[in-house]
Order: sequence, then structure tokens, then C-alpha cells
Amino acid sequence: MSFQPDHYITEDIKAIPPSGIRKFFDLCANSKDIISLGVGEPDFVSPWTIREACVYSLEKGYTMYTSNYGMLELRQEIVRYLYERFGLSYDENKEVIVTVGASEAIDMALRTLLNPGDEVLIPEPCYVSYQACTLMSHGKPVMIPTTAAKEFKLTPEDIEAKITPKSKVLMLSYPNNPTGAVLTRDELLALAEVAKKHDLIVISDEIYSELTYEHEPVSFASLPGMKERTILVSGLSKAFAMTGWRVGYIACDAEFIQAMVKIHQYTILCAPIMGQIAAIEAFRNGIKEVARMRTEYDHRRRYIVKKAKDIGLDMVSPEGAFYAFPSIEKFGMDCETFATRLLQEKKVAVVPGNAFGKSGEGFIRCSYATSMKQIEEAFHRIDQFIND
Amino acid sequence: MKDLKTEILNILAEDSTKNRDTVAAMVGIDRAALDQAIKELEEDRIILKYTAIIDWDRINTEPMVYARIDVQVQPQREVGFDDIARRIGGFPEVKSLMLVSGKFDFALMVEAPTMMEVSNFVSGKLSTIDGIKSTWTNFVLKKYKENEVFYGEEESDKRQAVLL
Ligand SMILES: Cc1ncc(COP(=O)(O)O)c(C=O)c1O
Repeated sequence: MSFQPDHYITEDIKAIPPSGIRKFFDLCANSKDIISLGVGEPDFVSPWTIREACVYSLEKGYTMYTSNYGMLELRQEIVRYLYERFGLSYDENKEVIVTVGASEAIDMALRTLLNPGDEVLIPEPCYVSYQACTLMSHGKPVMIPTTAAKEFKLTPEDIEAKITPKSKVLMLSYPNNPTGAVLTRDELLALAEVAKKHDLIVISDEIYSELTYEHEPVSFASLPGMKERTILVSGLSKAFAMTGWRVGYIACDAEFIQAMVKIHQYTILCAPIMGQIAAIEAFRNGIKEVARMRTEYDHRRRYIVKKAKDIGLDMVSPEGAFYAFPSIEKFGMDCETFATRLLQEKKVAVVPGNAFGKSGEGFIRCSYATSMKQIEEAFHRIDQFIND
Repeated sequence: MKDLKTEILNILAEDSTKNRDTVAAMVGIDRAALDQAIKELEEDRIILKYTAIIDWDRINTEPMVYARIDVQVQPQREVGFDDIARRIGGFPEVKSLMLVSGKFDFALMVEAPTMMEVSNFVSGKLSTIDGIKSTWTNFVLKKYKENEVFYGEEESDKRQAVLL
């Protein structure tokens, strides 16, 4: 018999569904001169002060490992930031780990918390890693659909309906990728009640928390009684336009940190020092750049909300992140057909909603992390596509 | 959101050719309200002029000569900086003019077709103005950045076309 790699791959890994829209991605990658509303990262380059600080550190010879927890200076900056921005207080010596992006943080948190068969409640549509990381940790993802009718907001009733004796973790991800939904403090408080009632640990992915446009952001961990049961996951990728640096962090109870650092030190050792030094500069001198970028995203968001209405695209008004999630249901196509035809006929790339879970069917994700000029042209073409 | 007019000004300062319907949508007001706001800003001379940033050196066969000139003034009775500024600034060669702190009093940017003409302007016009004590002329060798824009090629978008 010939050599079959498939024989050697674990059943767990095989059980993770491949990205359903690989075909569509390949199509985009091979298309020329397209306008892309498909990109899930800032269109800004990391602010110069951040890049410059890293270049300087390389000149000075900062090329070594750091503490497993991350550089103390960076942890101090993270703690200060979380205090000033969200009123949270953490101990930089015991309650913070610097990670390789929020991505590693999510994986580590799930691996630390899940015994085989433990259930993770995951509101959907959502970022793609939650389900996959749950499966890799031998957990059971329990998807909770959210709907446009309720502005893609998770409610206590939605959670209650999915609670079983195996429920252990609740994933929260607001501002949300792909819907742009944000929860108010009151709405979060209602979820906190459910978390307490059913003794759930909450992993709160707050990577987009700097990008809210209608209300000041609220951290789930800042709600009464929630700090101890929240694993706060965040990072610099979105707010500071630092996706490629791979820096994120976890803040939570010291015992969780002790457990997680075992995974981190044996698999990652530490986040790259270049990224960490850049992150220190970001917290010290990059905050005003965050504000500048937020204003620009907000302008684009307002434009899209108005334009969608003008051209007859039904859409819940997004309040955070840099995504709009219009419904394409009334055009009589599934989301993949819509996205594929839009790409082929009008050369505009969007992401089919079902890439973010079954409940994303009937929607497309339009990222506004692209210049105003491109957005204008893209919506002009979408207008032609749906109305001609 | 910040004060509406500031918001509008920030957008126009970045690109004054931006479609007005787009600008209105960006700040969340209707077109008529935007036009009214801009009209007021123009009438109040908050918006002074709409212009373009041009890389002239790439289009002129005989590039212009630019110089930054620092000027020291002898303070005089009855003649304030504003009066002198008006006299200096009146010359069309003077593209910009600022009162500055430090060793000098005024800093100006001057533009003329040849070095000779800049020199003539300095010796014949500028230094003969009453109250001007001395001038330092620094010819510009190369321009790198102006009004937040680098001369030369635009940075390309290096991201992948789709990303979840
Ligand atoms: C909701 C969400 N969480 C986490 C990430 C990953 O971020 P990082 O670059 O910090 O790994 C993304 C990236 O798209 C995201 O959208």
C-alpha cells in the first residue's frame, strides 16, 4: 500500500472542518484589480513611532528571549492601560501573560479550561478560531445563533436555551467580527447574571474594544463579580494596526495564569521581543494614533450605513470593529453565490457570511478597513450589481 | 463625535475634492446641512482656499528654486511685527510666512525660477525693508515631505485580498 499521510493524522484534527470557503478565497487570490472589502485587518500601517522603536531596539541588540510572562515593562503598560481605559485592576506580576496575538490567548484559555466533552457556548456568527480551538481542546462547541432581528446581540434567554450540565465556558466577542455588534453595559450585566447562575467561565475576546463608535467600551471583567470568572483576551492587532507583530495578552486570576503559563512556556516560550518592545511604545505613545484611526473608521462606517440604505441593502447598523454585515437574502442567492458573482461580475471582494458559522448564511461581511475612495467605488459597484 | 465643523474641516484638509455627498454621509448629516456649514466656513475665512499639493519638480522642465529665509528684525517704535509681516508677505515670491521664537523673528519660504532671482529678491526687496536687521538664506536641495505627504511613490497595500 502506498504511503498515506491521512493515516497518521489524528481523528481530532480531521474532525475540524476545513474552511468552507477555501474555493472562494482561492478565487479572490487569483483575481486581479479587485476592490477588497474582505480584509479583516486595519488598512493602516503600524504608526511610525512604533516601527521606529522596534528598529532602534534591534540596533541596540534586543534580540533575546524574554520572561515567559512577557517583558515586565510591557505587562506594566498593559495593566496601566486596562486600569485607565476600563477601570480594571490587575497585578502585572501574577495576572497577565503576553501572548502571540489574541489567537494564542484564545487557544491557551480553552486548553486550560476544557476537559473532554466540556461544552463551550459560542455565539454565532463569530470569529473562526473559537470553534476550531474548542475542538482541538477536545471540548464541544455549542453554537448559539444570534440574529439580525436582535441586532446580533446575545441575550440571557439565548444562553439559557443551550445550557446543559456540561456547559463550562461562555465565549464573548464584542465588538463582534463579523457583525459589528456591541453590547451595552446593561446588556452585559444581564449576561453576567447568567454566567453566575450557571457557574460559567467567560472568555471575553475584547480585541476590538478600542473600536466602538456609539458608546464607550465596557470590559466584561469590569462588571461586579465578573473579574474572577473572566479570562480577558485582547491584543494590539486591531487597535494599533499591529497585526503582523503578533502581540496580544491575557489578564485574569493568578491561578488561571499559573496554569496557562505552563502551556505558553513549553509551546511558545515567549512572544517575540520585537513585538513586545513595539507594544510598549504603542501603549506609551500610540494611543492618539488609535483615536485618529477610530475617527477614520467611524467616517467610513457612517458612509456605509447611509449608502446601504440608499441602495436598498438591509443592514443592522454596526457599532464596533470595522465590519458591516448586510443581509443579501432578498436577492435570491445564497451568500457564496452572491459573493462569487459580485467578485466575478463587479470585481468587489466581500466575505460570505457562512464563513462565520451557519447563522451567517444570508449575509456578507464588508470590511471598512480600506480607504474611503475604495469604499465609494465598491458601493457604487454593489449598487449596480443589485439594482441593474 | 467631535464638533461637527472640526470634523468637516479634518476631512476637507485631507482631501478637499472628496465628493460632497460622501462627506455629508461621513459626518452623518444631509447634503444641504453640509453645504451650509461649508459656506459658513468659507465666508468666515476659516477655509481660505482649496489647493493641490504638486510635485512640480517632476513636471517643470526648469524646476523652481525654493529657499527658506530666516529674518531678524530690529524692533521699532510704532512698528509691530504685524506691520512688517504684511510688507514682507506682500511679495508674490513669499509662499509662506511665520513669526517664530528663537534666534530669528520670521521664517519664510520663497520660490522663484532661478537662484539669481531669489538672491535679487533678498538683496533688493527683503533686506531693504525698514526694520529688517539681517537675513539668512537657505536654499532647498530636496523636498521630502509636505503637508503630511511624502514626495514619490504611494505605499502599496501589502495585505492579502481576503482575511477572516
Ligand atoms: C474577534 C477576533 N479575535 C481575535 C483575532 C486574532 O487577533 P490576533 O492578531 O491578536 O491574533 C481576530 C482577528 O481577526 C478577531 O477578529
